[in-house]
Amino acid sequence: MALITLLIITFLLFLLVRIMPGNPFPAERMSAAAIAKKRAEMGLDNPMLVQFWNYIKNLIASGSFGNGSALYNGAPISSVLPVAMSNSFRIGGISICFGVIVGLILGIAAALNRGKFWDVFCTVLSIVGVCVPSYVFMIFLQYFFSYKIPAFPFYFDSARFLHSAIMPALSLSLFSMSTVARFTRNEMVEVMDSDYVLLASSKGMYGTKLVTKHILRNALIPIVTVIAPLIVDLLTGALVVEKIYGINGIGKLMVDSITGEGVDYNYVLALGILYSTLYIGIMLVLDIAYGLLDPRIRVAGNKEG
Amino acid sequence: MKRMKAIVVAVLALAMVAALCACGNKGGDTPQGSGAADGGAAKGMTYTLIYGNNEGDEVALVAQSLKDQWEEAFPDVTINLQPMTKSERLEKMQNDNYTIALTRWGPDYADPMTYLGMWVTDAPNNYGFWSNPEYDAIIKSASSGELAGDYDARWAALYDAEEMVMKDAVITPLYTKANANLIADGVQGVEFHPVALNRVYKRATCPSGTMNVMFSTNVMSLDTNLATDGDSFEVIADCIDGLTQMDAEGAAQPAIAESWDISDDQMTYTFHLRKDAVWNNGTPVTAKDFEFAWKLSMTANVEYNYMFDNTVACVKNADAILYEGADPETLGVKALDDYTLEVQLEAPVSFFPSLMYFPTFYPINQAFYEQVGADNYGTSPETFLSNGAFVLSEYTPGTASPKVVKNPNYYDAASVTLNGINYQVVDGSDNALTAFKNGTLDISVISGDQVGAVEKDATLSKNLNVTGAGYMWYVTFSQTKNQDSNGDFANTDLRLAFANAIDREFLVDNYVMDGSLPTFTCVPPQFAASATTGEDFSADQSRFKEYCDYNLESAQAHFADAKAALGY
Repeated sequence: MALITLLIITFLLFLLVRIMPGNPFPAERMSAAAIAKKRAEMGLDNPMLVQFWNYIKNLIASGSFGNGSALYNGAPISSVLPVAMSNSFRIGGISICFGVIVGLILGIAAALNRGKFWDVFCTVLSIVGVCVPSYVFMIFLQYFFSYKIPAFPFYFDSARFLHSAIMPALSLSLFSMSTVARFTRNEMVEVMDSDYVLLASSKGMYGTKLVTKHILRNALIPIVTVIAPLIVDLLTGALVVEKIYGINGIGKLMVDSITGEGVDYNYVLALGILYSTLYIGIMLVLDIAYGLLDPRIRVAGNKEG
Repeated sequence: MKRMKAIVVAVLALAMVAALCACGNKGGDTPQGSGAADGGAAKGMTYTLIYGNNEGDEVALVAQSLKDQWEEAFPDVTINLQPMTKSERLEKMQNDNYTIALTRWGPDYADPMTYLGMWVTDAPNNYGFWSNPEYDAIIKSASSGELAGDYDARWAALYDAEEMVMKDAVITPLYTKANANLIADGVQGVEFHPVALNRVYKRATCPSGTMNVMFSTNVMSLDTNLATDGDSFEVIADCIDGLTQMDAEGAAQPAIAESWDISDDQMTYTFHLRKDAVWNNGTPVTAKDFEFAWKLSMTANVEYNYMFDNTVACVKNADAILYEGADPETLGVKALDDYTLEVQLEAPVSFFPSLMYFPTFYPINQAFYEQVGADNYGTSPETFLSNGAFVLSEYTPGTASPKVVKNPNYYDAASVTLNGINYQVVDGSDNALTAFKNGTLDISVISGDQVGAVEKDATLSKNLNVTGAGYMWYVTFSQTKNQDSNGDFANTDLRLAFANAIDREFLVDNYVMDGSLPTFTCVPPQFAASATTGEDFSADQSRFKEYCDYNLESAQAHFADAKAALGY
């Protein structure tokens, strides 16, 4: 199923990219004849289906996304993409871990102290976190912690990765942290009001065991659903933060491939496919995780099988 | 729980009020939305102006101002603004699917021909699709015909050609762009040029030894054949020397070529190469490297090989190879021995030595090129050879900005004082200004709306340095009837009316604001000087003012004629 979905997505992307306005081969100094020759070299004058077939064939046979057309003057995408992915994934990974862990702690703290100071504090914090875009927070951090107090580099520097990844990772984690905190709190409050928790506590169960085994576990299912797309968003790069902080990640690459001197079909496609693959992959993992977390889903699945 | 709800409601209410205020302000500031109202225009005089929304902060403002000025001068006219990416704008212009476009052109070499060549019939940049056989004849003769041999007569004829463009308002010039640079204290000797190589660092000094320089985009390619943008050319020129190099004034000085002889008919150049120039893998730089690079550029379908043809360098047989499929081996360049390069031309080219500092004419070592492969050449420090002042130490296309370090084996290493240059891609000029104040950047470019604040700042104003960026912004009109245009701009009076209704000083003072020059000639000033008198080709900006000066009376007269002729 996942593969068929991916194929359909690739085809739609392929069509959309070619319909999109903008020149795949910008050359102000070339005559119309030379441009036509170049387009023919790139196979752009074949019928759409033939182009698609060639693209898929090339992708499967050699695992290659082809060469760029407008961006980096035709350098093979395979030499550009891995570095960009590694930058984005590492920063995204740090921010997702940070966001989820801190978010969970905040959410649990809020739910257990319902109506008290911690609850209000976490609620306000998560509203601010959801409302303030990550790049605003990024500019804020950049201004205070590398301009006013020069503790961190002003721009991303791959030679000092951890040192320069802290600010972007922190600003990117704000949204996921708030979302996770909010959902954790609400779900936990709901579960805590349910009959089985009442039963468990009336049977004398209390403290950490009640929270982790009965409340948190049941509250996690909706939370996991929220986290999954957040992970993809973060891994595939927050394009504005990447542009502000000069991180050469895939978000920035995507923007450059569309708004650069020309529209680079192959880059847009490669990044689109990458994004879809990640999304579908994460959703697949999510389905499996549901089963592990919720005995009801597991039991229902077994019955059918 | 209740308290939390109250807080949520309060925050939401606050946000709504803030949003409403913001909208209200926006509405108040710009009373007329683009293309919204019809304004009671007479039938049909509605035209669309296309411009790029990723080509600089001021472009949208300039477009809005043009719309306002034209609509105010001609109540019958409605201008719709249509922003788009640069790539889409160029595609529309190349396919002739537009009416009016705001566009720009930067000089490739120091001769007026880099502009005048654009309006020849069927030239790639003749976006007006204008054609004048008399004009074509002058340009042809001046680039590769009789006029090419007579310097002063050619120079005078170029003015005649320019007048034809201006008289017909094929395009209407707006302003010649300047860069407002911030240069850190103690940084000296960086040479800024409006043409070919924008910044040269060979003779620069910097207190920290390593200079941090701002780029606004990623470097696209370090392959001399493939590079097309100024930033890439700048890095290439840090690392590779051509036959000649640029001095501070932009004149050609010996580099790899120690000297050169010119034959009596000015059609054969013999370059004598220095014997102490080496590539950084130890191989000597020879005349064969030039011959190989030039012939290589003939075989590839690349943008800049037009510089070899009869409109620019006139290298023998370049036209036949590029446009008629002749054998690239017949190109008029030959390594007589390892250190003597003979170049034959189709016609005398007075600025030929100054072309040789343009990266398209740089050498490539054949053995190295074939060893790393064409696809990989210039994509990393390992696949790039340097014979110049600096060696590439870091670069990956799209992911790592270039860093260069001093080349100890450079033949002129003694006069290079910089230890290296780090290029930093910066998005947005606000960010660049903060980074400069922070000391992260030694050279950065700021936008026009920041210049005012910087000038008022006692410490920063010392660092401000305005240099000519070379390129000219202009307006072009499609003179054909196409998908977008009803063909009204085939009418010369209408074009002249539009040209005369633009107040360029107002435009530059209020919207561009970075020291750009209002321009009234279709060849902009600052980049091409006469070899005999040393005078800038376009120093006299009043020469064609009657065709494009801000003159509402003349604009109305032309407009009335146009209206009558077009039947409105």
